[in-house]
Amino acid sequence: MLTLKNVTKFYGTVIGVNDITLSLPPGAYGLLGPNGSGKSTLLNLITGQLKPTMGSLRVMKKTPWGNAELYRQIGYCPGSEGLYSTFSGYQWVVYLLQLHGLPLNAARKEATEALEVVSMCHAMHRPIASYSRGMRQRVKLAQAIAHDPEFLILDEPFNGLDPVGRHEMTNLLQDWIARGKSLLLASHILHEIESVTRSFLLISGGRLLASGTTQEVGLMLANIPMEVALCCNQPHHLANLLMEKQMIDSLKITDQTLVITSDRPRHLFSQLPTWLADTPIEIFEMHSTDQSLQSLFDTLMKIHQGQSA
Amino acid sequence: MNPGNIGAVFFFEWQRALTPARVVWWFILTLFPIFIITLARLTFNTMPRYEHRPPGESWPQQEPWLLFLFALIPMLVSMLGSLLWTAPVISSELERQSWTYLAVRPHGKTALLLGKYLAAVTWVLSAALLGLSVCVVITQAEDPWHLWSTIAKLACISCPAYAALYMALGTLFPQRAMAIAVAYTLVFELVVSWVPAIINKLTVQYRLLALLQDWGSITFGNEMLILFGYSPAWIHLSMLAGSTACLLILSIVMVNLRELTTTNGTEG
Amino acid sequence: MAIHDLGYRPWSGRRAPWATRPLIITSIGIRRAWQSRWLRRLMLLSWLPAIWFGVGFFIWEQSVLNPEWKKILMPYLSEMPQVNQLAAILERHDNPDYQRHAVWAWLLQSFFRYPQGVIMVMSVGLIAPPLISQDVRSRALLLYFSRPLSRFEYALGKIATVWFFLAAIATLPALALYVLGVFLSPTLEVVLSTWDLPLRIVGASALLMIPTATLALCISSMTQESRYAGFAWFATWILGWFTYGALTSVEGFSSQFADRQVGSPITTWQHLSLYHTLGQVQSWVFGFASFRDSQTSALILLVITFVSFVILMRRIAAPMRA
Repeated sequence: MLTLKNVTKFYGTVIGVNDITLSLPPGAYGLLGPNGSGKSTLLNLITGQLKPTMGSLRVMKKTPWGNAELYRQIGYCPGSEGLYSTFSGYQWVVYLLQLHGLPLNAARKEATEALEVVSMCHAMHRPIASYSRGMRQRVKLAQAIAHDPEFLILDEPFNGLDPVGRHEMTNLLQDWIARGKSLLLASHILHEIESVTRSFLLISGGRLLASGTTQEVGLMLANIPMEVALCCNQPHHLANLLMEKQMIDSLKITDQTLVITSDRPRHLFSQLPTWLADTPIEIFEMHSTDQSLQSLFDTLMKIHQGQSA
Repeated sequence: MNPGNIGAVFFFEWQRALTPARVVWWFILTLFPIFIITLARLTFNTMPRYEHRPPGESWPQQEPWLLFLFALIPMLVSMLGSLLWTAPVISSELERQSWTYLAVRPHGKTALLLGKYLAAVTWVLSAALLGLSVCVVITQAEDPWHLWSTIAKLACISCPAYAALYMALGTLFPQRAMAIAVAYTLVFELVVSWVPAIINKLTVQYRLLALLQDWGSITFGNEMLILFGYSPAWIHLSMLAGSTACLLILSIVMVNLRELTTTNGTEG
Repeated sequence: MAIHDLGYRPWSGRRAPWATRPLIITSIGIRRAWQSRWLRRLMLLSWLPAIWFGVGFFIWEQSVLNPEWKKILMPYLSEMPQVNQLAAILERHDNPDYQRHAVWAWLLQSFFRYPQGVIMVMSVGLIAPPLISQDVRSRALLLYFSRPLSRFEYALGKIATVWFFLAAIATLPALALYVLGVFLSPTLEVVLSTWDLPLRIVGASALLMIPTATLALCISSMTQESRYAGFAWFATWILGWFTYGALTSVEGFSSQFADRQVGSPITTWQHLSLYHTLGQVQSWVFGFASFRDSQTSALILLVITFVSFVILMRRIAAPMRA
């Protein structure tokens, strides 16, 4: 679906995207990165609004720059507002559908259906100026899905949505994925992406830090120092044991929980059952304290910045 | 490209043209020549000679009215109206961040340019022709039909020509489109067009003045003949049509070649 | 503080002195406007005419030292339509101090009226349109007025931004021109006969700055899109000038057929053009027109300033009324 080969984009002397190589099959992906990381530049490259300074990219086997054929297959919801406040949401979606070449009647029908999908039917004839931020967000999504594209690209779609709106948006995107359509969702909020897909691309400073599922990236990180919490009946004994095995860099004991930092977590996980077999120590629960996407992201960022994780 | 796309932009832009701010501008452009011609007529009225003019004596000859109406309609109204609409053709969409939505449609940029161009030409032309019609009635000229048809023909030529010109400037310099268009107009269309050299032939104003001389049967002095030469009208018409087409093509090529994106607060 | 006691209350913290409160708005406006490369170029360009007029001061002062220069100069002066008013004054009065005052005042008036007048229109057209329209568009007005800042202070701060640049392109070069004139004079005593000119420069500057800045910001406050404000600003001057030009030529044309002399077309139609209205009052400030001839123009400028200010204040209060 998406192939990038050494894609680099310069704005004068400022680098927007730095040597990204990537190949993604059809599916749903989250594009995760802090503000200014190059997400929007990457989306602009994918939607053919920018040309790469170096490298090449193909979207659905087509070069995106000014490719009318590709524009029929993708739906794009940008992060910026850019709505005409004096028009109604319906008029605006109809207009954009007409620009897709749909005759007026067909455009009206499709627009109504798309606005229905985003639960905007009740307000679709009101001027956009009277919409709340969440309503505007829904209308933006409606224009992106109205022509039934194969590949939906969303830039910060959860912005301005209330909890109910977020839930509805999540359901809508999950339905979209369930229909077998592709999705690329850019955000700097981790749980927004986690709620929709487990596959993601981490980007920072214009560079791709990692890509894959949470598990795949977790595996990649398995050999870097990790904090592990072990809930057991004898935390002090367990601490002694692990110190004997030279598995601990630091430790902390609270009630029945031993929290350790290990620079060989993979080895620890594979050997722990063997070590515990002949001891009275019972482990009830074991988890990485930083197993969330956030910690993954933080760790990758630290590695990228040359710090120890 | 589907011509329906251009039609969609055209009708959408016309709907935008009916918003209060644009309607006010339309009225200003329509009423301004009427206001000036009314004042001019009142001035003639108060002139001692005309207060006591014998019955049947005409108002000032056709020629001064032709010149006045030329300055007001094909020059001022067409210029200002086209400048207002077409110079910010790209910058307005970039500024309001609606550009992205239009740019990711099949041939969206081209449809946007041509649709806006047609909307601008018809919007300005409607103001120009209505203003002209009322002005001709006010003038009580000897031959109102000749006056109206001459200026109307020139307005029909100047609107598309100026719109294409300002659109090209707007696509070449989207950041400072309005200021550059004003500066261009002041320097080239109002000053350089009167320089008796090859350079003035590059201006729209030169062609329009030459056509006014021809169609209006204006009896300019020798200096003016040196300025405008003796080229037949078809040459001026061909030059204007050619330059309009070239400028439109240039605009389309530029807008499709340039990387134009909006910036936004969530730039990531 | 009890939770039920939360609500709107007056600012109880320390505030800057009244006179300096608008300065924060002004300084931000100046910094933002100064980011424009075009404006920086224009500011540089605005000092160039001062060099040209400096040559005028030099030629005059040399003609005082060498009377034969004056003999060469005078016939040219009386033939030039723009200068014949000055030439008439010089012919009527022999007193060198009076002549110097008249020439200097005329040069300064011309400096204000012609090059700086055009540069003023261009530079205000670059600075003023986004000053308020962008605040309206981005809803920054609500942020401003959630601080202990009054509408008047905000408006004054914005107007002072335009004043700053106008002072830089008109007042400072004019004062520099005066100082240059003094340096090019044979003796420092010329100050005694021209001491009032710096005051007249300040007066003419105020006249240029107050109505134009208020009008420009009024236009800026009336739209969310700065390009419309820019267009309206330029259209105001262009249409006014055009009206004046068209009607004076109509009158000129008509008077060819008239049996008797008609009134001066210049004074008849100048009130339709802001540029010429401003020029008339400036002529009074520099002593070339009587107050009686200029009172209508002065009144028009006063009305423009007042009405623009009222509209401006209402427009910037609009988001709070909504």
